[in-house]
Amino acid sequence: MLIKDVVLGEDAPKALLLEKHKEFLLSYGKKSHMDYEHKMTEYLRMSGYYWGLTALSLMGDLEHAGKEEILNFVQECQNPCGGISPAPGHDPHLLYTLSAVQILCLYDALDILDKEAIVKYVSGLQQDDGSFAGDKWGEIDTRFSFCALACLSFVKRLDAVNVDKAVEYILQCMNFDGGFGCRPGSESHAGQIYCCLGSLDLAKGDLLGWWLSERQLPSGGLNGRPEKLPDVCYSWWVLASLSMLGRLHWIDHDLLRSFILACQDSETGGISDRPGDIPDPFHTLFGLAGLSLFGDEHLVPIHPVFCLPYPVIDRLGIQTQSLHVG
Amino acid sequence: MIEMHGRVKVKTTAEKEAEKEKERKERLIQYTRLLDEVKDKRKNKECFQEVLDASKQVLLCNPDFGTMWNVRKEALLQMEVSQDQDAFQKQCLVELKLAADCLKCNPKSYGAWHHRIWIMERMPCPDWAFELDLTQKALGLDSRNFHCWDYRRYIVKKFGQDLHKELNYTSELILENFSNYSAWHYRSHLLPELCPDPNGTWLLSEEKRLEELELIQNAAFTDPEDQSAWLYHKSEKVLAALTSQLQSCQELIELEPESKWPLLTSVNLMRAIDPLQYKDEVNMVLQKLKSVDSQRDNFYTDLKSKFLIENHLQQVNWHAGSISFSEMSLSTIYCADSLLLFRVVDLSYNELKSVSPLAALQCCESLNLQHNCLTSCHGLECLPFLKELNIAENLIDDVNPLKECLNLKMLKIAGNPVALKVEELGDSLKAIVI
Repeated sequence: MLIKDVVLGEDAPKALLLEKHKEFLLSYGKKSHMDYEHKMTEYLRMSGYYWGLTALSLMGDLEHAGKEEILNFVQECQNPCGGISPAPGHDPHLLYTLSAVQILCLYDALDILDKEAIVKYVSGLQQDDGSFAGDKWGEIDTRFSFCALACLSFVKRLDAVNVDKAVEYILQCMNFDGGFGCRPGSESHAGQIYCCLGSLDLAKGDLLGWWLSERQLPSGGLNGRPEKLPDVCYSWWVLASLSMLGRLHWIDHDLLRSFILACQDSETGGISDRPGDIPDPFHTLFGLAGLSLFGDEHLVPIHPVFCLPYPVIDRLGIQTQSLHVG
Repeated sequence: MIEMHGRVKVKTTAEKEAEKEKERKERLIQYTRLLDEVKDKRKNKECFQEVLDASKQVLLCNPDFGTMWNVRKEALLQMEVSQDQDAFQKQCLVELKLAADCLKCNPKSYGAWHHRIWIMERMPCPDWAFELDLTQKALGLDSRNFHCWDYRRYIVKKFGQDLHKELNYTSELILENFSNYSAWHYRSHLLPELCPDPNGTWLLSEEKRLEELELIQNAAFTDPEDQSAWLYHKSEKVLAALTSQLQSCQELIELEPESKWPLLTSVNLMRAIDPLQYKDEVNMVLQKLKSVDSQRDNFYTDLKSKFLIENHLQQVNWHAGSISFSEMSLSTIYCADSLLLFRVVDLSYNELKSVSPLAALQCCESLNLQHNCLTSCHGLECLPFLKELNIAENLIDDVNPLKECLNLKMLKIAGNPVALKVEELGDSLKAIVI
């Protein structure tokens, strides 16, 4: 059978193009030919900022992004209910609330938001079964459990929700392959596994670790589910999960590294999902984050649960339990 | 539509680019006008029809725009109380059509899928059978769309669809294409519900387990390189027919000796049947796997350590007080919990990289870690009864954490970077170093 995968071209980049990536991120959305695209992606702007800023910060170059402008933007996006919108004029949602809090952590500026209001918003979204809705319209997903628990960890108010119930719900989403899905009964998916592991401190380590290591294809790239194409963003979801399980070495580092490097755009900078595709900040962050987890000497080490530079997590004094699973 | 995945970069000419630029400018003006319209009219309860019209245009080109779905839901809640049932039912049908159109352009739009559920929950006369049929059509186009599978499970529950029919549906899909992991996944949830083991020992009744194995065996023989069936196999490995399974696995290996999945499955089967009887064979197959699947070399190395430790623990004298795993090429420690009660533990001459699993050795008084690949002894300080510790011939350059081991009387550190700077150690440590 043909394995769904890609072939890396001979001319694909083989070195990390740091300066190009900085340029790519700092000018992203500022070029006039991108006006339309920029407007179209406004609904996820806050996350876009988080991806770009964290990527810059991994490259040790956060100071070149306009700090004041960004902090004002974040402040403007908090709603009276406490939740945060992706951009002014949009509705608040847990996804963007987490992105905003992560951005403020990067800048050590959590105090510019009303923290108690955030706590109230997040805890108000927990349901009786322990799950979390993404916003008041009631979509339930384990991604939102992670967003909620991560947000509350950053503001040190995990006590505001029922963590036991939250864990109980996530465990209901565990499948025969040791992985996790969006809701009980949903298929395992590497992105979802990351969210669930980030929220738990126990798991079927070997089975899940093995399933995750099977995500690596002959090209070196990782996919999110069996029989799917590789994608740079899974360098993060899979690697971070393996790192939480203490089994990062079950992936072939060198092969994955050459896959990520081949996904760089040597003209514009930036990293794309697969070699030859258009780069964007999302894949740029998760490509760099993957390289950072492997200890790339040019990058700041990244925290596998919170996807922020380690020094930021240390500064906040946040402790996570590491998984000792046999 | 803006989608960040799979956008192939194409070279264009300056002329084409200018043309595109003009087009983009026009689209931007139109798009911005629609957004302003929604924003203005949203506050005004009289204007919900305008809000619906404008937000529809936005969603058709940008189905992930969450706020646009929200303004529609607000308008709908208003219509639900202000209009008669027929009119509201009609509007709900419009919403379903919009969600469907959006899903045609982005089948993975979370917002569109959620809107569909939200409407079905409120519709005066929801047509569950129609929805079920729709998911079947959509899965016919992409049988791995997990959003669509989730939506189907939601409809099945609401509709009260007979789960046996669902099981038959997964059988059809699997016979069509053995690589349909989503269908195997669904089976893993349906089967224990439909055919539980009357004794409660297994997830499934014996009859069903054998039937299921046959299906898997067919899948495996059809395409031994496909992951789906083999992954599924793993959860069902403890079965009465294991030996015959192993036999057919070995036949498959004879036909295709380089094929990874039969090799790996034969390991699982041999471990399940009798780990000690097959211990040499398992080792051989693992060695083979390391070469045919070299990307996961480290996984197989750890797996080998795990099996060696499990085998050793099967034969151990639990009352002896001491246990030795010396010279077993262990890359990592498994089953550390089982070592809880041992007072003397020998792990020397292995390839251990981390001591963190050893936190479980809460009764240990003498621990030998000589000649491993340890870079840190951090973690050993939590062993309260530790008296003798041998960490000679490792890569450790700091032993300060051991200051906290108050009962430690003897510490061997020769052959480590730290051994070169004994003078720098505190008095309490210097006193016990040999």
